[in-house]
Amino acid sequence: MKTEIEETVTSTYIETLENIAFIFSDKIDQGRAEDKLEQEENFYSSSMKYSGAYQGNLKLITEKSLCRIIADNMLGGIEDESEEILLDGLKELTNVICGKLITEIAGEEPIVDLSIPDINSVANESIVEAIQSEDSLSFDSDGHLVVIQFDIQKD
Amino acid sequence: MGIKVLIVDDSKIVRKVVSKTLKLTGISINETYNASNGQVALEIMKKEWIDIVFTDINMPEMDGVAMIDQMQAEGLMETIPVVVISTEGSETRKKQLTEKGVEAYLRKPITPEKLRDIVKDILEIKDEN
Repeated sequence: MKTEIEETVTSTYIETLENIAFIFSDKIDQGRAEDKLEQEENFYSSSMKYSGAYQGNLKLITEKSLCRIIADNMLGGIEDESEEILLDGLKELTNVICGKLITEIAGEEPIVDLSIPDINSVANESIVEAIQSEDSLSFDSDGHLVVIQFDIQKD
Repeated sequence: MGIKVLIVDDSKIVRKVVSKTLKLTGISINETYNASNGQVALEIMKKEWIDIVFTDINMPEMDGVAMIDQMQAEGLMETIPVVVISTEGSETRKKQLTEKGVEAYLRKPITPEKLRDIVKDILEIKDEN
């Protein structure tokens, strides 16, 4: 990932999670990310594609336990602990990050169409690949591992 | 009396957040209707009295832009104010939607203060004090 894109992804992710769910994050290196991965299981990914003036993908991988905290903090307490509500929080986080990232990188003029976030459960082996890929960044968010993969190309 | 609002978003959590944020504005809400896409929202608009619609753009089945186009075609934009709440920051998109009759375009995340000012302005609600 190019340095300027890396900085934009890092600041956008940290600010967004803080604003919508009051969760603080730090960027971590590959080694720490792999250590954290060993301590956890039950991961989900939320992926979005974008098209139009710019194309690419954003994927956010995190633990189910963080999804619960995100949903809880977004709502100020959850009465309904259904899978739908927990994963909706992750979807919304991806959606806001994607919208902000594209505006930061592409500016406010072009129209970029965003897909609906797609949620899947992810095996730990696939997360190792994601952590090691060149287009990813890892974060410690309130003690939980978050991996973000992002790529963008101008049409 | 209170106002009747319709919140259109495919995310249950976002509908709840908008509803809670509206309660925090202090504006009296009589009824809150929820729709997971534009099609469901149009059906509600035809059956119920709605004072204001809050809608996302990016939704499955019928997105917010298609819903607004349909509202325009059916003359609903003249009677029901629409506020778009979206993550998209494109000024071109905002301009297009304003030309279609959208009253306001808010970028997520929304705050009670911003929402209160916009709703009061659109519905011409005066402060009680």
